[in-house]
Amino acid sequence: MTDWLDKMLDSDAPAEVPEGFAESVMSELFSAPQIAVEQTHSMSFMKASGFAAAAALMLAVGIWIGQGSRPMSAPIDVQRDAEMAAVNIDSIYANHEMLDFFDLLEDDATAGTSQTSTSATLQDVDFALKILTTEGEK
Amino acid sequence: MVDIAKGDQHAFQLLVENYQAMVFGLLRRILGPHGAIEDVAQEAFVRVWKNREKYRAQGKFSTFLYRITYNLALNRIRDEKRKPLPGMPKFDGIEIAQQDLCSDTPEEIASRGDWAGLISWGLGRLPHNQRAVLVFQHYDGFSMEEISSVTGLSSAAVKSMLHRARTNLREILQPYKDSEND
Repeated sequence: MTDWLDKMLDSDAPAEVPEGFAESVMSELFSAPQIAVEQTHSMSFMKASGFAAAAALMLAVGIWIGQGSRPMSAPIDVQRDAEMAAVNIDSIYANHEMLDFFDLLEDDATAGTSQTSTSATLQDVDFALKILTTEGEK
Repeated sequence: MVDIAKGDQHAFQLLVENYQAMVFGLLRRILGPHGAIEDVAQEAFVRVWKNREKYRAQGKFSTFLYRITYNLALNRIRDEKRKPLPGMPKFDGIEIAQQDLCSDTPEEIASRGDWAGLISWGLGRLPHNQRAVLVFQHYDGFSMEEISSVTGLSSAAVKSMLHRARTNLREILQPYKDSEND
């Protein structure tokens, strides 16, 4: 049944689609999420860095406490510190002798750098010992 | 659509290119020629992509696409109704299509012999649900069941609404139709 209303309805032409519409849909769908993913990655990196820094700090504090540190608020006792240092130096010498006995300290021919660092340590110990002995006498 | 469901972007672009004219045609007739056609069309295709796994292959894809597009168009009409333009006269209970604000009077349109413009104006005078069923039936050739599937109305309601839409549009355009024969 075609009457004047159908004829008028048929006169309405198809709609025109703006050029590049399909591309704009694709762009809307597939470019925005990439930014979101990058943001997510950078966020997770920031979070991971934060967690790593916090963990390292906690570990350092834990080791410091575990090594018998005194409270931060405690007054500095020079005499006691000198005695403690002397004990530590004795134990370092003892360790050195033990390592030497087991031939764990390398000889001149095998490792130059390690040897340098070992001898530097021993020199430091001698120097520290002199200072502490002087302070203990005071 | 099977490829699209698997995430094939190239297949989806082809789908957009195939169906974009259909979507624009529907939206122009539902929202009026000055409505936010492009925005809603874009949103419709974005929704298709996001809901691609919900599509059931036994149904027609055009029905699936039209259901999404029609619902978005209804949302847009509701949003536009909630925020009238400054200086816009309010007529309680009467839907004023957006095109009325921008186009000529029907007498001027008819005098130019612009029947497409007259139809556009006439469709804009119909309630949106009557407008939609008439567009689905006349321009897209949908059956009662397909219109029912898209609109969520029963087949009986669709049939009744279609009858009222044609009757109302006939009454609206009757005063101007004689100009067609001049």
